[in-house]
Amino acid sequence: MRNGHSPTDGRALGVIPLLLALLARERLEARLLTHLFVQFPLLLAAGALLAGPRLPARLVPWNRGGAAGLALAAVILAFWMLPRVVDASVGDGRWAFAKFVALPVAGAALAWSLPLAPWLARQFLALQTMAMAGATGWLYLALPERLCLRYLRSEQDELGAALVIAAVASFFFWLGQVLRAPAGEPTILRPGRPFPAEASA
Amino acid sequence: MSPSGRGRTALATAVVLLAGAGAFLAETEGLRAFTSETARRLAVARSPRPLPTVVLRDDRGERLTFPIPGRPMLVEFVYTSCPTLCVTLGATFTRIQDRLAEAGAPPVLQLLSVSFDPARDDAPALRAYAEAHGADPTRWRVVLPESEADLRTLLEAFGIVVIPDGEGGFVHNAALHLVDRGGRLAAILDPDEIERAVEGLGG
Repeated sequence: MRNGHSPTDGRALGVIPLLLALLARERLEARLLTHLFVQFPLLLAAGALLAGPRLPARLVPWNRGGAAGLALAAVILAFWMLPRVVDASVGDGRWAFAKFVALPVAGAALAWSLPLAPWLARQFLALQTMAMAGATGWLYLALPERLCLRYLRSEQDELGAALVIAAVASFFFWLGQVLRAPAGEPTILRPGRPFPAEASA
Repeated sequence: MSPSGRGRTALATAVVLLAGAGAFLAETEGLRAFTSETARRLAVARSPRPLPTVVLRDDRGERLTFPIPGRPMLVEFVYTSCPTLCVTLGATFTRIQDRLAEAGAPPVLQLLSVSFDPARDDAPALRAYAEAHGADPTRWRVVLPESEADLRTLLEAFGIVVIPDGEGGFVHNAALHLVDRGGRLAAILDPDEIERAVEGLGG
């Protein structure tokens, strides 16, 4: 739908997930699972869409290989996974505002950086994210403690199970993609050259 | 890839990671507080928190102003129809009451069970809770804040978050709150830290 239009047309779509996350705020935040599995992704998607796929030219020298942007996204996401920060974003308006800024920024950073990242770095990030999600989910299930004051212990179990399922499912999806790659193309299981994306550098 | 590009990217990445690590360390108080409850306890341990003055009413309709100047007290938050946590808290208060009596502490009001459930906890409900736990009214009162505003003020000041449990009851952060002579929240203890609680009360 972008054909013949200026690139800003696609970006404007980012307003939709942002408004959804904002208008359905109370409903989404009423449950831990929808808070983290629906509102968070909506805000990331909003940021990614609003930013557009292309890194602005003056930022290019600051984000070679997407390193700075991926670091920024990782730092923001790690911070917003802290139980006390999740709690605060429900009870405190300032923290809620911070969430509606920080997560779209992380989404924008991902959109501007992932396509620039070397192939090997992308595989590493994918596996790392799955491992973290799986381990965190398992931790939520195993800990007897209620981690969020704003949410029930049973909701923590729900989120834990969802994280484990998402981690396992995305691992098999990833594995399927890697195994199904055309014979000539290098995969992590069949490396063609040691560092394909860096080979031309 | 130009050397200057690499240099600037390395700089930007380093700044992002350092700022991120700083924010993470600050927000977790040096990797100690990942949850709101731990953060609440650390904050109080670091600097005792002054408490607002509120009016409470006990099961006999007697009004009392909290905090009482010069009187160390122990405060727990409950709702009397609670089947689980508040029973534990009540049992803890019973043991602390006994310990204070054994230690020869002066027979004055030092234990407060504050209900946050005005809809159900009328005077008879408060009395039933007090009687079920053997509360001696000279040392221990079961009370309800006089107004909704007093209740909100109190919960806010102590950092208590009450949420519905979906089955008609509530879930809340349960702890023993030690209030010092100056009327400040001085320590937040686990229900099993009876010795520290008795010590804090001067018993």
